[in-house]
Formats: sequence, structure tokens, C-alpha cells
Amino acid sequence: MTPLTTALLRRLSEAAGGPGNEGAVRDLIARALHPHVDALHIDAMGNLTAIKRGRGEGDLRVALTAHMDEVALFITEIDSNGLLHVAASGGVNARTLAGKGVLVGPEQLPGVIGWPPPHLQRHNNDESKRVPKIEDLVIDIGAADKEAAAARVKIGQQALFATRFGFLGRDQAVAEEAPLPQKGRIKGKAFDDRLGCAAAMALLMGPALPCDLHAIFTVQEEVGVRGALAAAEMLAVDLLLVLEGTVCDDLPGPVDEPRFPTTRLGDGPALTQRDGSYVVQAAVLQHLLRTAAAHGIPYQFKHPNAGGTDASGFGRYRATPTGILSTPCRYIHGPVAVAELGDFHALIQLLRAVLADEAALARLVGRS
Amino acid sequence: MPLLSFLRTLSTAHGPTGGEGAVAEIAAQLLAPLCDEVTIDPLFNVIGRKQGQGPEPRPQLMLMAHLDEVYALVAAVEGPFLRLTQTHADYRLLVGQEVIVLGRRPLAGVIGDRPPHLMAAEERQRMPRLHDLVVDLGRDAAEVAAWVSPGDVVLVDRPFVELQGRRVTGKALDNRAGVSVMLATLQHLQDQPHACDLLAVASVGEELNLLGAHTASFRLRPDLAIVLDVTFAEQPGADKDKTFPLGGGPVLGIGPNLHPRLGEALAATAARLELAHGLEPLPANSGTDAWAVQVAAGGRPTALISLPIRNMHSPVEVADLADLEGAARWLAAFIPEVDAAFLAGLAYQLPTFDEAPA
Repeated sequence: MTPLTTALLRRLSEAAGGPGNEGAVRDLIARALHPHVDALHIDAMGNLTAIKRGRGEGDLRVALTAHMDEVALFITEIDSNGLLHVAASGGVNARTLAGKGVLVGPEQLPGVIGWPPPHLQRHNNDESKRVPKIEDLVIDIGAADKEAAAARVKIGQQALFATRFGFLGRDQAVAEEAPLPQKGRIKGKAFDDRLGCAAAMALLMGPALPCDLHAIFTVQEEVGVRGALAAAEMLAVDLLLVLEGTVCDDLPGPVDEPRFPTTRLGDGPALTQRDGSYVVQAAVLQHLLRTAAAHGIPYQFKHPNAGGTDASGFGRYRATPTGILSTPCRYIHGPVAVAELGDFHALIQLLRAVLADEAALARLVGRS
Repeated sequence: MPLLSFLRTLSTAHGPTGGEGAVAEIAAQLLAPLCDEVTIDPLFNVIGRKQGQGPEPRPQLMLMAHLDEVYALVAAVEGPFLRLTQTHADYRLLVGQEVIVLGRRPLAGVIGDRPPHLMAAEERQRMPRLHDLVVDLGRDAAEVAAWVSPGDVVLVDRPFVELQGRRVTGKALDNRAGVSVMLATLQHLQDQPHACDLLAVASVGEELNLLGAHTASFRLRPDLAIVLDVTFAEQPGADKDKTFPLGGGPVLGIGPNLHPRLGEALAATAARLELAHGLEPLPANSGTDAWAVQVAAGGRPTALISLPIRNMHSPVEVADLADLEGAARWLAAFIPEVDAAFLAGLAYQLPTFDEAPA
């Protein structure tokens, strides 16, 4: 039974945590982990490390890592009409921005990203097919003028999608404080990478494992794995497992455009062989595959593609053996993502199976 | 009930063109305590009647605001996914949008986009085409096939939210804002005598072909009518000369679609109230129910009061409650001026002739 509740996953998804502004997410994770771990540290970048001592004899140390930040809009200007001008912090999908609701700044002020009425637009020309530039979009918080807006919002604050966590395709209500259901589709924002955070938390909140378990919740992944780079030098572990909410594009495409989905929803956690910034060592990948097969845990390969994870940051200084495990998430870097709880739970099951077998781990990292 | 509550209740109700049943029942419930009688006609036009205190025959004044909202349609069911067709709104706003599919039962869904990580630079620079979008219901193909058919309506699922000041945002403020002003006007008139009989009509079909306005005004044959709808508020990307400042007051239409003397009388009332308002020149079709009402059953003197909103036909329309309240105050002050003599003054007169016709 998972120690995660629906309420905890909701709070993780709905918490505001743009790059460099992860405080609310960090506080939430630290409070939830505090009763379950032996130590909590925050470094100069804002990365949060939790340590849970193993019950085994050995001194094997394994780290899980997931990033706390999410892509965000960054307030760059308040104009004379009280409208907020923005730039992207991280790879926001600009095609999804217009006509969405956002929450601005620490007060979480509601706002909307406007779009001129179609009646006043020229149709079917090149302009209408082009994606609006983010710098041409504005957030309207209802302020009548610059003074009214500046009283509530400051330049440098962030705006995040006002998306509520929920279940999709489910007809029965879910009890918020009950354990997260085992199956079913969930929708919400910031699944990249709050699902990774939640998976690491599930391990730390569960029973002690043979090895020492470190979990590093990083900052600023979305703007260039900044948190991981800073934490990498200090990280002295035998194995690092990077947990992600990753791209999933298993949608039917246009007939004239054949596609090869990177991952598929419902096919199990995705194991990375290589991505745009990291090649997983063959021994680590084989260990994950063998463990999954031995326990009958479904998995899929994430097809090699662009994109990267904190693995590239952590791998920069120490040659720590590193694996990358992800929950596939449709529509990430937009207002609302969709994931399958079965994939998420299978990822946690695989992690637990890997961490439970101390002897196999020791052989993998050459410490036996 | 404050105007804000009317608007909140109406904005979140479902009422696509041709499927106004749910929102019509809500409008009827809101109208009932403010009218002597409320009926819903076979097309789902909601008609409230409030009798005046003047001597018979009392002029029949119709207020009209449309109930229906813009929508998209299911084009095809493709396994567990839905493809879309025909949208009266800007389909580009559907990318990344949560929706409700009105199938055999309402189903929540998400219209996502491919991850930008996997797009070539060229693809990131152009919007997806309407037929590239799919609705994800989070259900398997068999369930989807059982509940959804091509032609089912897809509505955006957006909450109604209060912004800073008196501004609010939500879907379908076009034209639930107009319906809310109609309700607030009737509320003002609960303790204020008026000579004329009032017909308060929440009409269907405006976004397609003004069907409700045509049929209701043909049947009711009001002596005069005031239509309430929305117009464009100032915002980036919209021509300044076609827009009105948000919070700058309601807007009076002027042009061939509208009766000049009725408009002048409304302007005089606004001047008496010192009510800030805009003037919208409409050289031909006003693009509102007034276009149908004006020509119903021999012609009906018709006026148009519009409420400026931003982001019209988007999931995040923005209105200022001050504009809506101003419109209700305006109408509540004007309606008591309408009696038999006022109505007679609207009629076009022949010139006086020097000699009797031969």
C-alpha cells in the first residue's frame, strides 16, 4: 500500500514552483518527509536533501533525485493598462498559452492570458498560423491601470497555470486522504517533475531499506539543470537514480505525418537508454531490466530523443553510475498533463525491488 | 441576489447553440422570483412576463439577451480519442484546454499538445491545425464509443473567477453578461412602478442564426425592444477604433439596425443619470439579436445596449461588473419612462400636407 495520498499528490501538483522559486514545493516536501527521515538539508542553491538510514549491515548509499521546479512565466513588465508582460522561464509550450488561466506571484492572484476576439482578426493568412510570441502575450489580473497592478504584483514574480489536479475518466469520487488509487488517469500541472518527487517521497515514507537512501529534490532543472550541477560535487553515493515525468506523444498524428511515440501511456515506467544529454551505462540499464523481469513489473524504453534530465548535471563531476526512470506524461510543458497511475506505481515498485536487493546492488557498483 | 451571483451561476452553465436546455432552466429559475410568469418555449427561449401599472392597453417592452455560447463539435471518434470540427471560437485557444464533451453523458477531457521537446523548430513556430487536435477523455475506446458520437458538442471547462477590482473572468460572458443585466434590471424594478408590461427574453441560437430572436419576437410582437449583448473592450491586438474601454460604462449602439428615437431617449436617460457610456457606430448588421428583432412581424423599434468584454469568444472573457451594473441602472431608470405617449412618439409620421390628397 502506498504511503502517498491523493491529497499529497494534489498539493504537489498545485504548488507553485517556477525555476528559482521552489520554496513552496520544498516546504511541502520537507514537512511531509520530516516524520519519516533521519536528516533534512538545504544547500546554497535551495536543493533539499533527505536521508533515511538503511537497516542493513553495509554502507551502500543510493540516491534518488527529482526536480522541484516547473516551467513558468516570468513577469518582466507592468504596462500602463495594468497588464503584465512575460517571458518564459524554461521551455513553456507557447502554442498552449493563449486563453488560459494563471496564478500570479506569492499571493496566487488569478489572471488570464488574453487573446483578441476572432471578429477583429484577419483569418487564414500567415499571421493566424504563427504561434504568438510570448513577449506579445499579456496577463490580465483585472487591474484597471499600472498603479493598481503594481500594488499587487512585482517584476520578477512568476505566473503558473491555474490548473487543478484531478482524475480523468473516473466516475467514482476519490477520498482525498485515502491512499492514491492504483490505476486510473490523472490530470494536472507540473507532473514534470512532481511525479518524480512523489515517487522519491513514496520510498522515503515507506519502511526502511537495507541501504542508506538519499533523496535530492533539485531546483532549476528547467533552466539548465542548475541545481543538479551545484549538488553534483557534494554527492558521494554508489548509485544515482533520476526520477522524471517524461514526454509522451502516443497520440494519433495527422495522416500525412507518421510518428514514432517516445513513450506510451499505460505501458509501464519508461527506462532511458540515452537522451539528448546522457547515456545510461549498460550495466545500470541491465540491472533495472533484470529486476523488472524478475518481479513481473512492466516497463518500456523511452525512445532516444532530444531532451535531458538532471542526470547530465550530476554526471558532470563524478562518474556515479546513474539510471533514469520516468512516468510518461502527455502534454507536459503546457497547462494540463495526463498520466496513468499504473505507470507511476509500477515505477515505485521497480525502485523498491532494486533497493531491496542489497547484494545485487553491491555487485552492480563493484562493492561486493 | 447580486449581479455577480447571477453571472457566476450562468457563466458555468452549459448552453451551446441548439443545446440551451440546461442553461434555460437555470435562467428560468433566476427569472421566476422577479416576474409574474415564466415560460420556456419549445426552442428553449425563456420568457418572463412582468405586468406594468399603466392603463390598458399597456405598451409591451421586450428586453432580450441571448443564452447560447460558442462551442466546437466532435468530428470523429478515433479509438479513445476525439477529433474536432467546426468551432465558432478561435480553435487555437483549445490547445492545452480542459473541456466537457456533451455526449450521452457529460465527460471531462483534455486537449493537449505534443511536447515541445519533440517538435522541430519549424513546428514550434506554427499553430497546430484544427484537425491535428485530439480530445483525451482518459477512457478506453469501448467506453468512448458507447458515450460519444460525431456531432456531439465540446465546451471549454473554465471556472468563473473574480479578478482585481470589479473585474471577473470566465467562459460565456458573451452573453450571460447580458442575461445578468436583464435580471438585475428586473430586480431594480421590483420596488419601482412602471407603466409598460415587460417581456424578459433569454434567447437561443444567436451565435448561429438568431433563431431564438426571430421566433420569440415574431410570437410576442413587442411594441419596442432593447437587446443586451457584449461588444469589444480595448486590449492588445484589437483596433482601438473598434473597441471600448473596459470599465468605461455600457455602450449604446447607433445605426440603421436601431431605432434612432429610441436610442436618443436612452441617451437622454443616461445624461440625466450622469452615467458614463460609449456610443458604438454600427453601419449595417449589429451582429446581435437586434438584427432579427428589428424586422419581426412588421418591424419593431429596437435599441441595443452592449457590455464591453475582453477576449470575446475565448475561455477567458473578462468583464467589469461596473459596466454591467451601470447598464442595469440605466435600464431601470429608462423603463418607467415608457408609456403610451412615449410609444406614440416613436412612430414615424407622415409630413403635414398643404392640400388633401386627390
